Amino acid sequence: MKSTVDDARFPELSFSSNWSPWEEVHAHTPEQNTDLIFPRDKLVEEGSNVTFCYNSGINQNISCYLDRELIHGEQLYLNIFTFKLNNVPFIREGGTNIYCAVNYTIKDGTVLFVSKVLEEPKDFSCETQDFKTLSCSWDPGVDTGLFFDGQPSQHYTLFESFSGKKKFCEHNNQCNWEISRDLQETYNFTLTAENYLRKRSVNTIFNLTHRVHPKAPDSIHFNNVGATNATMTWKMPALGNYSTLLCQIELHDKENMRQEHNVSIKVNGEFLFSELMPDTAYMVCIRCANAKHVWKWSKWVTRTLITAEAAPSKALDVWRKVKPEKGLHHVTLFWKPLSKFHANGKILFYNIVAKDLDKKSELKLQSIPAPANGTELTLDQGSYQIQVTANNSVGASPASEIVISGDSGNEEVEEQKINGTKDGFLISWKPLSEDRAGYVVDWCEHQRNLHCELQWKNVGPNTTSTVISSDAFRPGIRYNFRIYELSTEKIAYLVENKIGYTQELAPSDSPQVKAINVTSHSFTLSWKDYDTEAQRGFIQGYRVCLKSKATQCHLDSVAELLPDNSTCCEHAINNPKQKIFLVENLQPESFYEFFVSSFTSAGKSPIGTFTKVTTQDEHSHMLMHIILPMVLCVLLIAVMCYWKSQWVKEKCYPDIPDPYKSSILSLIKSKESPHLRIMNVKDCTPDTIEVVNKSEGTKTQFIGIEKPLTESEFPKPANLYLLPAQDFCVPGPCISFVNHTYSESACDSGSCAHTPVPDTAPPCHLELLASPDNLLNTLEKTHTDSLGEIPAGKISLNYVSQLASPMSGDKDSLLIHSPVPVLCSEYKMQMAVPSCLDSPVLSENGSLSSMTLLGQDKHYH
Amino acid sequence: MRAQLTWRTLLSLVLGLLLLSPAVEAAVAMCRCSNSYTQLLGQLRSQANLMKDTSCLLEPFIRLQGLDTPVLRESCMKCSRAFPSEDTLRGLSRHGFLQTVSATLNGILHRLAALQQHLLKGKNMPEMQVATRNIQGVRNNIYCMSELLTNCSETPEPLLPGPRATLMPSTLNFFKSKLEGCQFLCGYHRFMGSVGQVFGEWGNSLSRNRRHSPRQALHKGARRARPSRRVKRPVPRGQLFR
Repeated sequence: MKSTVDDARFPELSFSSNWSPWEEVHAHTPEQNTDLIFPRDKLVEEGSNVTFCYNSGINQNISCYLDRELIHGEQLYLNIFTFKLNNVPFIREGGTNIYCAVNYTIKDGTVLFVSKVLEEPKDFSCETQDFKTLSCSWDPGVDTGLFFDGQPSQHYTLFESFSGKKKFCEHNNQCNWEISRDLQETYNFTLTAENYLRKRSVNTIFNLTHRVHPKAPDSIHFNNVGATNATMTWKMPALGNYSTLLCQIELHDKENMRQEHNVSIKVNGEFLFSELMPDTAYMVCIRCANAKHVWKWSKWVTRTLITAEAAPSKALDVWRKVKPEKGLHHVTLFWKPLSKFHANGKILFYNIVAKDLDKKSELKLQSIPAPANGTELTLDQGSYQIQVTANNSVGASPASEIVISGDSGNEEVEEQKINGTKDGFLISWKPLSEDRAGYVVDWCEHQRNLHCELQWKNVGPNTTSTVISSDAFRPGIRYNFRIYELSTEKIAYLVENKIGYTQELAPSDSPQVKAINVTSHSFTLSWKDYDTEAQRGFIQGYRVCLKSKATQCHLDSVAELLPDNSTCCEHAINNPKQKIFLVENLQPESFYEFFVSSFTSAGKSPIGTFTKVTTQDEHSHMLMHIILPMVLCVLLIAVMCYWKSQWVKEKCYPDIPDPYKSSILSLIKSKESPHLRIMNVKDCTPDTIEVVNKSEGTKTQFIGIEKPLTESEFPKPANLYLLPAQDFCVPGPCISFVNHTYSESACDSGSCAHTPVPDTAPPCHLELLASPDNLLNTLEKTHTDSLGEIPAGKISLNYVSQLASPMSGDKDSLLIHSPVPVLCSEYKMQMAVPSCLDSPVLSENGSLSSMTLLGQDKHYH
Repeated sequence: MRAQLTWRTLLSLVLGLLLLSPAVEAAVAMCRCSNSYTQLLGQLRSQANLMKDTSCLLEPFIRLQGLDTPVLRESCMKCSRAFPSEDTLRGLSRHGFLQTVSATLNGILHRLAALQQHLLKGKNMPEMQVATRNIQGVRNNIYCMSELLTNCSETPEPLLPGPRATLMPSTLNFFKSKLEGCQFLCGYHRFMGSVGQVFGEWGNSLSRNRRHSPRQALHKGARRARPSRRVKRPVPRGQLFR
């Protein structure tokens, strides 16, 4: 036994007495049949040595365990054992189980609660944020609490020696201490951690004003925010006027800290920012600490400050492309957007003013809404000054000027090849004049695209070379650089035009070649349309590869091994403008294959499909020289014959219509009229025609008009006296049998006693026909139409019989009945008359035309 | 005016407390009871089968208390006999069975709370919280099932003496308390297994199961004839929780 003095108020007085001497006490010896282990539920600190005593009673073969581990004890008596455990470890909060068992039957056990060693609190400190409360905090270390009533978690006590006050802390890592109203200046705190086994203390002494940890500033506002300045105000909470505060202000833009300021305040703070950028977002950070003794800074507070816009500060970088067309200038203007630094706000639109320098009054104004980077103007070929400004909500940028002269776009300079590198193109030029404002080099970024993304670079007036580099440059793309010299009047003059590749590549395709003029010993290759501009390098020439059965190549060619291991004879053409090649010294009737590839400095175009050519037979051209004219002559004769065949036929052997083959026949048959039939000339007894020479004006009389004639009444043979027609074309006495149907002249003359068919009788209309064929056609057509459109019963087309010439017809009758010699007689035409005309036809002058009408058994004379 | 406000505040407070009270919970549960016998039975079977799994509570307890040794585990698995055996449960009418299970679960809840306080000193053991919620859920469903049976004119039998008396753990020493707690949890899982078994024997139709089983009728008849046999029941109710 020993005694201990322990008072936190007087830690220096803490001490323990010595142990009392041992005293021997006689206790009852446990009964032999009672299991007993001692001590029960013992609490020790980690690392302690513990001895257990066990009375096994009457049990033999007892095994005792420390958790899983079998432990061996010292046998004091027959049934009494002691187990000494040294340096016991902490295993779990639920304690270490010590138990004894016989054949898995537990006889007795106990729990040894091993606590972790209580640690001294670390980082013990106190501070105030409001001069009302001191907040003390510390790191408690390990929790020594167990699942045991005797050892809960350690608790903490705070003792202040000057005031003599003590406080039990609710939490194990922090404790609040109320500051007295008299604002005690110095504090001496003792923090004591305590559990059942141990007590640990730490101490701190400090001046209150040295432990001020201000709260973060609040009520932060920006006032009078302009384009370049702004005022920030803020408040410091809860500190009152007890101390002066130092506040740190930082101004950041997106990238870096731009400004840093220190401001001393009491409660309210104010600071004016200047030299700010217009329309820029800044991050403003502020924190404060006690000015006299910086214990801890408050937390940073961050706010965003956005300055107001200002007018753009820089003129646009403008360039143009001029395309003259039909007396006009199509001007495409390009400009680069202003950087945020120069835009000073959101660009809303661009103003373009074109001033006619010749007339000096005409202005053309365009407003292009942002975000455009170009526009198109159409101007006449006068000189124009174009001004471009960028505008935001505050104002316009300085004007950027460019002048389009009347010659703009018409300049022509020779292209020069340049070699580029991966880093770009080194371009140099010679100045045009001494008086210049500078140079502009422009080019298209994506040369092959239809849309030229025009790029340009401004170069100073004293510079005659520059390096053009761009990430957009690609190998195998031809770039065209135009160098302009800008005069002091802002007029651009084309100085030089350069083309080049950053890296030449082999051509991507080969020319499309045609073989022409194939002879027995040669043929010509032609590739007129090959676009060398679109190739991936400067075309330096062509290679003609010729495959043949010949094993050796001609002297002007070399053998070339092809990818398929075949060989060809390769002819080199080193002139890129040559697009024709004569392949000669060939064998007649031989088979050749050729392929033409182009090449650049990087290599040849890929080998494609060979074109096959077979040379001609050696004599074939001779045959052609003979046979072709002959064939042409024959053809010419044939064509001539065919062309004149109708004429020959008409003159030599005109067609005699065969009634039996007439389409009328089918019509007659279709009507199945017993009265209708074909009259055969041979079967008829010709009428007797008396030819009388009679003076002009004699009229032809029509007998029995409008009186139907019966068979008996019909004279057999009847004589028709036909007087010369009024329009008789032969002045002399002439025997003429005129069929007016075929006599256009008669009708045309107007004196013809032909049928005056009124126009108002469509079904009866019959046109005069110029030829027998046409007549037949018309008949057929009429027949067809009749079948299709007119009822069969109403069709009545009569066929007028052929009247034979006296010279070739029935000689007997003619000779017999001719009262006078026939001076002239000729074959006249035939006619077809529709049945509707089966009424007497009277000419205008009352003369009668002679005709024989058939059908419906009516014969008129 | 101020007095009125105070009274209103008090009234709100009282109503709030009432709403949080178990009685109100039971009432709410009653209101939410399903009318589907099949659904309730299915839930009870599932819950019982879930809670019989020793990995839910017993195994975590063994590990936490350092009882995971062959000798101590052997002792743990001598499950507490303070629970009604499966035969006993099977011998009860359905009403009796439900009331017995409910009462036993109520005792288990108290015992778990005591274990928490005594052996864990209030420290958090998540599995214990889950087990407590599951038990409350089973009790709610048993309540609903009882209501359903009562509405179907099954006459409720008087509840046999419940297992709630003298159920606090031994305070002799910590070691014995650990073993008792372990054996109690073992018995709890076994009991839930028996409950699940009996629920499994219930028919899926409410009308066809008016009587529990022939054994129950025999048991009832025997009980009427020989009241003294109640003493010989496998698990006397008075000894449920020692």
